Amino acid sequence: MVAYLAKRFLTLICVMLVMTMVVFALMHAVPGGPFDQTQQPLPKPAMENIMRKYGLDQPIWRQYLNWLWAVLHGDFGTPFSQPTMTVTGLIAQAWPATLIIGAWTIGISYIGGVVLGCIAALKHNTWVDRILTSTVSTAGIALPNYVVGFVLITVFGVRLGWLPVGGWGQPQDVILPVVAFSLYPLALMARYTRATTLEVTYADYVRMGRARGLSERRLTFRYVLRTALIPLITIMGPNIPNILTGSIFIEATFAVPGLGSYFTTASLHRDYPLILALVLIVAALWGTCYILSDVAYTVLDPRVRLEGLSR
Amino acid sequence: MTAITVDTKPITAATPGFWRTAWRRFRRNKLALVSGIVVVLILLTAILAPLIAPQGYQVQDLANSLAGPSRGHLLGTDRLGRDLLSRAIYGARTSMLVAIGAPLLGAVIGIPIGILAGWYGRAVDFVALRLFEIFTMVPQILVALLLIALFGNSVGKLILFLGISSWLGFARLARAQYISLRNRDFVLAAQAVGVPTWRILIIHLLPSAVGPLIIFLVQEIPATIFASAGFSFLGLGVQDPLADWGKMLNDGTQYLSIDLWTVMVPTVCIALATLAFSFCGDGMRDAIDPSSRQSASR
Repeated sequence: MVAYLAKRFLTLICVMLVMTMVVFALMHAVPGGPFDQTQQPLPKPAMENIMRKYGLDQPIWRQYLNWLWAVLHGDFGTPFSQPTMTVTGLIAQAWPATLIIGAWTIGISYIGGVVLGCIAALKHNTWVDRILTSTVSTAGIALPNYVVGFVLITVFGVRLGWLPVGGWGQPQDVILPVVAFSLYPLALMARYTRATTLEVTYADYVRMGRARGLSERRLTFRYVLRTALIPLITIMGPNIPNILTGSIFIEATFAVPGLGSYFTTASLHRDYPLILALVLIVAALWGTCYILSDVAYTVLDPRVRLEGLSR
Repeated sequence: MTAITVDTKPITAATPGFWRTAWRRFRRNKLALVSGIVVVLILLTAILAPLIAPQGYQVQDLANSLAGPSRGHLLGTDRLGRDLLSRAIYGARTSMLVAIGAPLLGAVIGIPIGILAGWYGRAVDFVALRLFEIFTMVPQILVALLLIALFGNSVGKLILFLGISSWLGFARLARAQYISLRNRDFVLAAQAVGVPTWRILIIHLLPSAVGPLIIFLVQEIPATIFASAGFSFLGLGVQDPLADWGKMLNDGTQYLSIDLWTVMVPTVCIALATLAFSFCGDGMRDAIDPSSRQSASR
């Protein structure tokens, strides 16, 4: 297991290295630079000064190595757009908003999705099931979260005036973004839960238990759900980075100053250090979640063996 | 001398073909059928936009900016007094171009990779699998966003970047299909007769693999609408004066409290299109592969 994990994380580090290299090369391949978009064009000497200050006058490979060396020492540099801060400081400032929305979303959608999916499966082929699966879950999966967001804003923010239209800081600012954001993972979880639960409901051992006179309640909770919920954990894992990267649109819809909105502005303004730092964070998080969900799979389901792991 | 006439006509199959059975199953699914009709209507709107739209998408009527619905402008106007109905109709054109073009490009890139990996196995497959592994670890939507932000935005670039970032799913699916197909008897027979490999791959095997790939393509469309409209909504996608649903959403957000129509029109368009395409895609999947239905909605 240790060897397997080491191998996977080594791959992850390689992927991250390659990603930063590609991003670095891409950013510099585009004509123009980060300081072209200022209100007035800078005089030539001033421009040269700035370029020298940020090391932009050096050859690309040199710049990359400098950056890598600094990062290995925990220094992500200064964002071009906000020279008074450090990249680390900026991210530390933006991180909580994304994290809070993400955590609420994960909690609500995973718990709610499992509950709804179970209800649909246990009420299989009744109207409850039909409404839950055909309409609610497909709509939740198909509708873009920013579209849901705007519907919520118009209804609860503008028309009824119950909740703030957007912004960040008050506790009630969390509600609408989380609701809009939860819908997709909620629907996805409900759909999977229903499918796995149904599979088990018709399994022979459940029929056997019923034949031997086990109570329905005992059957449902001890025999059906226990087995049915295992595969879900593997779906939850890869979804977590999905939730964190998908928040770009939610943050834009509700004007939340989180990582997603910084990613957009940094990409637009060619804020090299900030983009690179964000790419690194996202890649690390994304990759780690994938690895962990693969590991969770083997722990929970003894039939699955990891590739390259001795039996 | 009477010549003996032999009936050389081939025996025509009495059983309905694969696609006909699929169509029959699809037709029975009311939700899918209605969605299919909506999809066709959206596509027709996109193609016939100049004929249907009451105005051009860039015609301004500054005296009537941000106006609600009226006889002149059935759905009202935006901040520059442009007719929202016309912009929504022209928006269908841009949105559909990207929504269909990008997955098509992804298919063109991904399917050959998947076919080669699935057919040749061994070293080729090993390399392909490592590629898959690496790209699984890369968040596609962020890559697309970064590329668009860096290289500028036009409809063509939107298709290019979203297409590039969507090849993985097609490659995976094509690989799985070809692995399950490559050991079939008819492949062996073709090889024995000396059919060249490329011919086996394309003429003999592709028709058997194309069903699930088409379904995947259709199911990718709502995701692409989500992404492309999302980028335009962030201000990264299509630029003025071109109309696009995401762009309209972006324009409208600033006037949310003054004129709801500017936001609701694109919202409804995006919602309608994504819903129609996904219900339609699900229906197609159930029709072509009834066994997939077993777990999803037995």
